[in-house]
Amino acid sequence: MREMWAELAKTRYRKIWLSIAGVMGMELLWCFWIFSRAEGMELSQGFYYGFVEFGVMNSIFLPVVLAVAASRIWDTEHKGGTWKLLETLETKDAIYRCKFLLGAIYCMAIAAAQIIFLTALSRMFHFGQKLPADHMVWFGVSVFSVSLAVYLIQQILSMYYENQIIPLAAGLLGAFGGLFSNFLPSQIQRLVVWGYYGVLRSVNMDWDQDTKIITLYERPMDYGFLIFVLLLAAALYLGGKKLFLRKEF
Amino acid sequence: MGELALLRCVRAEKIKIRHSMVWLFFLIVPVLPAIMGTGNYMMNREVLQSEWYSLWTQHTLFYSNFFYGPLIGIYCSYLWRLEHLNYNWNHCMTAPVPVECIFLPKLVQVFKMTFLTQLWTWFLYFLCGKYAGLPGLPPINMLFWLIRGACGGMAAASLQLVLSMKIRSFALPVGIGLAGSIGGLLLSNGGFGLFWPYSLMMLGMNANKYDDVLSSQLVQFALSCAVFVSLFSYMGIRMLKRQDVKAA
Repeated sequence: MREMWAELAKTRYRKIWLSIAGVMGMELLWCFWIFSRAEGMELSQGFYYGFVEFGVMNSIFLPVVLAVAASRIWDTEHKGGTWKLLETLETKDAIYRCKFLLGAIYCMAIAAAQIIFLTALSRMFHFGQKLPADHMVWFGVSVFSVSLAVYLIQQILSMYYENQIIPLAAGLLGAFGGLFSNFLPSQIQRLVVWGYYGVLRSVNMDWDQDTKIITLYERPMDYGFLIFVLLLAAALYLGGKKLFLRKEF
Repeated sequence: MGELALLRCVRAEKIKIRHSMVWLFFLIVPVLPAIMGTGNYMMNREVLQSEWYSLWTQHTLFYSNFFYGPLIGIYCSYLWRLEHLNYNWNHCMTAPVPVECIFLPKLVQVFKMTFLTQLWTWFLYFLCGKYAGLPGLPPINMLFWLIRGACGGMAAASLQLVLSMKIRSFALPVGIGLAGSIGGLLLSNGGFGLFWPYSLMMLGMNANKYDDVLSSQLVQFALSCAVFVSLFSYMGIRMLKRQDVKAA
């Protein structure tokens, strides 16, 4: 607990929330713009439309946002060269755990914010669809799980490399890769972690180029893949921790 | 003497980023939207029928809308990284050159990188067009859009340079660049793109458009670029002159 308070104290005035809140705010504005131009068909399935839109935005923006968050959380000690000093005050296990928990809180906040946004947009634009509780819960859990896995990758990179250009470059390339994978067959999509926002989506969209009509339909919730993502996150946590414990700063 | 000092500082900046991995990054990143855009074009040929123009819309869609902002943010953060380390700000500010020669050479580096990235993007566009079987050469007005996009990118680049100078974090200016790029797309679609620095590149490159959106607004576009670059450069130099760098 004491170590966790120390980590929270380190984030004061570092404005980590600012970049996350800024991008979330922009996502909200984007959705506001999308729904203000939506037609009856899209509003009648507003929640489904929202899941698809947020899925695309998450593939593009969240890898970079999580890279920024991981970099800000881990570069405090890199910049000051204070790893050895910190190790005299806390165990390495506690340092890793608390920094991970901080990132997990941000991932949870992102998922919660998107659920709140979608609910608020449904009131604002009078969606014709009743709130699909099961899809909403799935959406929150899948966004959180994938964000956790992506954050853990970024955490390992930010911890390992003192020069933060490498994890940030990985975040940007991951965003590209995730977006790219959305256009590929699902077998290849499942190879790109940053594209898992699209894989776990419970709604899909078809656009008929002749009639220009968008059709939104449900997809089976892939519980097996969700478990895989959570296991991947666990493996990344343990692997990253092992790396951290062995690293000599 | 001032010009000589500026040239010496430009050369010094080149030495600082020699053998840096950032060049590799700038080579790799434009390849991804090129592949994505070409793949998208080839999968939707029945809809995208304007050949070189259609391919252009797909190539520029993601690169100029979302990824240029964070990309140039990373580069600007890297340029200031050396000064942010240890007590290097003291060393930098006591150099026997005018304060402008600390900021402006970095601006020159950023502009050079923007133009080189644009040229690389153009080369990839041409290669991908030939791969997709498009006839002849791309229309010449696209080269003009490319150069115009580079000019537009300078506005965002100069703002990112000031942010990276002021904020002693590698990552936070990149996050701001990303948020700015998203805002740029929204404002550009709302008709206010000329008033937001992150929108100017996508407007200049005619991203995701067939007809030239700036055909009747070229003067306003040039003015907007000039105003933003001058304003942010002035802000950056003034901050260096008036504020303590607090190297610690």
